[in-house]
Amino acid sequence: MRMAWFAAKPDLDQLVKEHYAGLYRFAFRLSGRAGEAEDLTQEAFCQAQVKLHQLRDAAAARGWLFAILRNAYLHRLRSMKGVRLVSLDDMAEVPERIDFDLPEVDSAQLQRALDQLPESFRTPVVLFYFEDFSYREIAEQMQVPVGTVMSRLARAKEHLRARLVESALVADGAMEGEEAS
Amino acid sequence: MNCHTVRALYELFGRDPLQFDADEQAALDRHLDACPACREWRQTERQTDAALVTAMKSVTTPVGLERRIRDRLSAARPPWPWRRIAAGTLTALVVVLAVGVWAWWPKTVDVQGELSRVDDAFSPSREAVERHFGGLGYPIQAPSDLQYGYLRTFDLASFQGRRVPRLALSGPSGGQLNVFVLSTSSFALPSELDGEARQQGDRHVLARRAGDFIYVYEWTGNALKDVSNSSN
Repeated sequence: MRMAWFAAKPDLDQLVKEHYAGLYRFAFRLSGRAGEAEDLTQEAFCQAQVKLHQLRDAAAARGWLFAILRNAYLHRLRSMKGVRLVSLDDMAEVPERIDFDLPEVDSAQLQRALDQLPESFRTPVVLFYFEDFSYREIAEQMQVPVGTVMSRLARAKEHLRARLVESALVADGAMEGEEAS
Repeated sequence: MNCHTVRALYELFGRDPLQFDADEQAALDRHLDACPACREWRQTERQTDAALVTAMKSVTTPVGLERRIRDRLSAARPPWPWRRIAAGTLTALVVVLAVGVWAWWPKTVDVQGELSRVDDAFSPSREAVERHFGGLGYPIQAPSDLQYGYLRTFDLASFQGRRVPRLALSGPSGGQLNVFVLSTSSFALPSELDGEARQQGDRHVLARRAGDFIYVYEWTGNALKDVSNSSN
């Protein structure tokens, strides 16, 4: 069997080319604002440039970059005063399941529902549904057990479904009201 | 496997099929085949997942973002280590080159100076002796009563534990004369010994003071008389 004597060395230009769009989308779903998302994306790459020597294997670059961006976002959250952060306690109760087919989801509605989630729930949802990270990859990045990731994903998904169905019902009610009048 | 277990398993693992082993997957499939409620539930789950994925991905990447990232990276780029290494190497090369050029550059021969040194060596004079010792950090007044044509050599020699200028002369009749030049700041000569010659065997010693110096003559045979230009 041939031994792999060394892993491919990462190249920053290549990393930008391959991951800037994904990082931006992740940042947007985390922060909910286009300007902040762009700034976070740029900041993540600047940090990556400084720490590039720490990355041994180009194959691990994606998770590494997303972790840098998430840390940058968390750092901002901590430094912001007066911002209301949803606590984990708010997520202790999984919302009651509503047996209602989820209609086509509007991106802005989804963002509003995401914004209501604590970051520790929002991140696994975005990484899993949006960037196709596996449970294990999310667990490694968030430094929590895989079981915790699974649990948070299930609860976060139920939260999103409940909020999105609520929004859909409200919209339907409004439309019916308009038709009746 | 009941409905509750199937839905819990699907909730936790269903979106990552690799989490199931073959037996679990077969049990799940058997239950779903036999349970219309769970099939409907799973269909709803899949629709929800699909709707979420679609909505999640509907984020438009700003035009020009990649270029702006590259611009910012260029502005924040730290100096490359090889640049510092290259600068250091270049500096070292310049220094080595400069030293080499200086070492190998043809020197202008100081003909006049060299002739003076040769002349001093072959035709020693009182002035040449004083110049020599002055250059070594021993400014002296050489004795004025010697014929410097008989001077064989002059150097620094040990005298009572101190290094002092010495002149060695050879007389025409074969005697040898050493003259030690002592500074009065380092040596004192009792007045009763000033100018008093002593003899021990065939060796003679005489010390005399002249200004700031004491001259000690040590000779054999008639050397002092032979090389002296005075009448004594």
